[in-house]
Amino acid sequence: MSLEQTSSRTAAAEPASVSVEGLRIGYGALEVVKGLDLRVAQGEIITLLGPSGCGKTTTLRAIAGFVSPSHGAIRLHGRDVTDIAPNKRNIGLVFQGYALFPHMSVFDNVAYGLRMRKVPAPEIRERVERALKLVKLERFAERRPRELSGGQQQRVAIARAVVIEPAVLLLDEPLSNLDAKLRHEMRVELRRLLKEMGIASIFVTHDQEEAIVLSDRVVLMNEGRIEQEGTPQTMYNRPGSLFAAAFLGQANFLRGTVASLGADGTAIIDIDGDRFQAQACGGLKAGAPATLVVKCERLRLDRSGRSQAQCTFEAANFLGPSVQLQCSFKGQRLVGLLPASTEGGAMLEPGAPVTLSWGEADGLIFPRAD
Amino acid sequence: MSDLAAPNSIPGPRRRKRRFDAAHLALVAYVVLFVLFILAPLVVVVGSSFEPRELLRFPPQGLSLRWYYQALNSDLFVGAAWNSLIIAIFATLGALLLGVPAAYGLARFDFKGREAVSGLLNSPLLVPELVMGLALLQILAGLQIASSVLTLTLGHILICLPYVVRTINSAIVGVDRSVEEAAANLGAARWRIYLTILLPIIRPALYAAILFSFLMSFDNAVLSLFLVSARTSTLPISVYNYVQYSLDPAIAAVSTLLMAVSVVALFTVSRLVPLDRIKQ
Amino acid sequence: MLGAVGPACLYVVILLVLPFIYLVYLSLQEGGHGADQTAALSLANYVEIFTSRIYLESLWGTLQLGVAVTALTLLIGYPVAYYIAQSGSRFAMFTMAVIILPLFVSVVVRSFGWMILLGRQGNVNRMLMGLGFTDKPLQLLYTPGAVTVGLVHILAPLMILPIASVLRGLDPALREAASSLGASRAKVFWTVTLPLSLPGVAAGCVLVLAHVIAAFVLPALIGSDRVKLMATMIYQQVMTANNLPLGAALAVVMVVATFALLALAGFIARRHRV
Repeated sequence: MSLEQTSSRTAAAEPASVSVEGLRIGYGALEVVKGLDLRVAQGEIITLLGPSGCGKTTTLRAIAGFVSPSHGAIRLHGRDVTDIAPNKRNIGLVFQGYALFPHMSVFDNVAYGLRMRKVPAPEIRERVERALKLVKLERFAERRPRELSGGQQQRVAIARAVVIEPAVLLLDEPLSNLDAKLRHEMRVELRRLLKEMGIASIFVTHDQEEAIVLSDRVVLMNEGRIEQEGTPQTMYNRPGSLFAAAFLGQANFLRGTVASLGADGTAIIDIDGDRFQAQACGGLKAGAPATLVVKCERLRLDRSGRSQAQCTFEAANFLGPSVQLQCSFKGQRLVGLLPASTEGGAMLEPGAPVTLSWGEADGLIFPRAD
Repeated sequence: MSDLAAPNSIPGPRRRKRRFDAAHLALVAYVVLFVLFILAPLVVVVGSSFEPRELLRFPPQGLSLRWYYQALNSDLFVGAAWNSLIIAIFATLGALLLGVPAAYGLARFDFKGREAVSGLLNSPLLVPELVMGLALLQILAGLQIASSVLTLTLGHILICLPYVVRTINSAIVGVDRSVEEAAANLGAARWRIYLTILLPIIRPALYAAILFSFLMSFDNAVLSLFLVSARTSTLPISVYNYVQYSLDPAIAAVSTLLMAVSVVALFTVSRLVPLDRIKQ
Repeated sequence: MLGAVGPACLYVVILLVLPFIYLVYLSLQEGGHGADQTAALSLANYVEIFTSRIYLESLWGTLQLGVAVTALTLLIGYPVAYYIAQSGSRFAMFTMAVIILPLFVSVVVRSFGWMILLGRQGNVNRMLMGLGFTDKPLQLLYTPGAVTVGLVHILAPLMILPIASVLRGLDPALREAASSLGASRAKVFWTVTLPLSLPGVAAGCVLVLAHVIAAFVLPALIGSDRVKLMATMIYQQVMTANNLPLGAALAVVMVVATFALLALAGFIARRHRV
């Protein structure tokens, strides 16, 4: 059973944590979200991914209740909250800047939601301490936010949002204010934490790497609509459009024309005389312009792949664990991302001929609009 | 794709929900009342200056300009107004000459005692004008220097200086240092950088400083009270002396003219500089 | 470098600091007629200020007025500051302009406006009689109430602007965070917005109080003769009673009080840096 089928079986058994139907935000020329349907199952982590302006943050804020939709409905645990104020939706919100109350201690920050719900003091103490232990900050209870590092502040923000046991956790680019190394560490840590607690979560990010690491399901948005959604593996390896292919990972885009279509879902693309067989995606027509997409790390510096391209070497950039090889092929750019230990990479001179190859399954052919 | 729980509303177009916000409405109503409160005395002064009869009354029974003609023909008020104008112009000039370099020094140099200098240049705003006036008067009396337009101007420079320093300092601090450094790198001498690069960039702040300084001098009352004499008076002081003995539309007309200067000046500033950059 | 700030500093020293020192010197002379430079210095004037009933009443009256005006401007002004900071509407911008405008109108003109409003034939009385609250015109001018109202009018902007400035600087995410955690709008205000606006409130209070201590023109025009404020007292002692040393001493007390207030405010601000 595929992953998608499993999740829909589970979902049918109980109401989704979050259900968004036909969401439209804005009017006329200023419409920011143009008809969006979304479901998040219990305990599921999804990411709204996309470039700035695609409507992902607006969608998140609508689920939170800070933005009113012009059409559509939002349900949390089956309850229609579309007209309900933010403070009555029982959501947990983690902001990009953490938004910790500077005039309160860490303890009071985390306890805030519980106090608003008039939870009795002993229970507050117990739950706050438990939440702080969960994020490993139990010894920082009496500190002020300004005394904490960025990573610590973020964990307080998370503790504050989860201690109230919300229906859903909404996180707006929670990691982008952290420095790179911390971000990498926190990604894994955050996923572990959320899975442990089993709260449905919706992340918003523009960082595709982050989306891939964090989520059970990635929802790629573009210009107010969902472009494609699926597991990180699917989104990465089987992008449904040129936009998706460009957004996730680094890829090469070689322009050519469709030479012929195969019966088994493959096609042959002609790039300036050279022909390559690859997976056909979308409505391809023989003779029509198309683009061949190959992920950079799929290229090999040898002839082991069925598809081979005679390129001219331009430059090699050392990236640490890998080497980026910039080549030119029929006047178009071809970039390979090879392990740094690859033989032969360092010895090349600019202008030297070099062969890059890839497997036929690694190539995707999409129709081209221009 | 639908939930098990039967949906009680079918997703579709929704009315633009604007919850009736009583609290917000009450706040706006309150602010309206407050605005009326603030404007009331000013409106009353302007309005009663048009009263044709010899009564100080608002709203006026008619619209007459006789009091304006009277004011503009009064040697006392015209002389005082003239003095105020001259003093304000020269006080502003003096405050600029002293204040702009000082603001630059405070903004660009980090020296020991910088806080003290900043406090010193700010002190005319903190020391009661009454005390400043009294102290100056005693010094002048002790040195046997008579009150004149010059002494008034010197006193007003003191009042205007902090406004110039604060406005210009704030503006210079907002200018990226690297602009000046780039110019210096290209070989420009400090003075040239100052005049040809920095001042043009902070031009809006300069306009603001000039106009604030001018108005603070023109409107000044308490300090001037100690520095005027029978021969030399300023417009606010002549109004002050007058209203202690008689209240009539004539003085309302003079006051309106005084206010008009402020409004015109403020209007000019607001065209050149965003209003919310004022730091009092 | 020093050439930049030097002239300005020198100017302030010559025209403010030195004259003030001279004033202190004068205050240490024996009271009487004029300043007698040959007499010995003494603190007699200060002793008199703090022991004699008239001066103590004046100090106390000024302080009372200061607290009253500060409290009133805070209560009246805070909602206005809140509105200006929150709302981007044109009316909010207009209100801001209305608040700033009087700061550039001479205090003489503003006081004159109150004289017209509060006179026996003034608008307030006419309105009260018209609404039937009273038969005869009330004595509104030349009362402590008139001075209080007038000072509130003049000093409200000084309270509103710092508060609005602080409120505007607050991260809107803080309010959203509180809301998402379950706080109603009122709760958000009391638990988040108000506490974080306190630096602005403190700044406003200090400004208003300092200006009340120094207030002269308004009380002179619409104040009563019975309880004299410090400023009025100083002016009288120097100009009318010809008791310069005592006036100078009162002036020094006024300055010391003002600076003590500022120092206290600065101290509290540093301790409670959020």
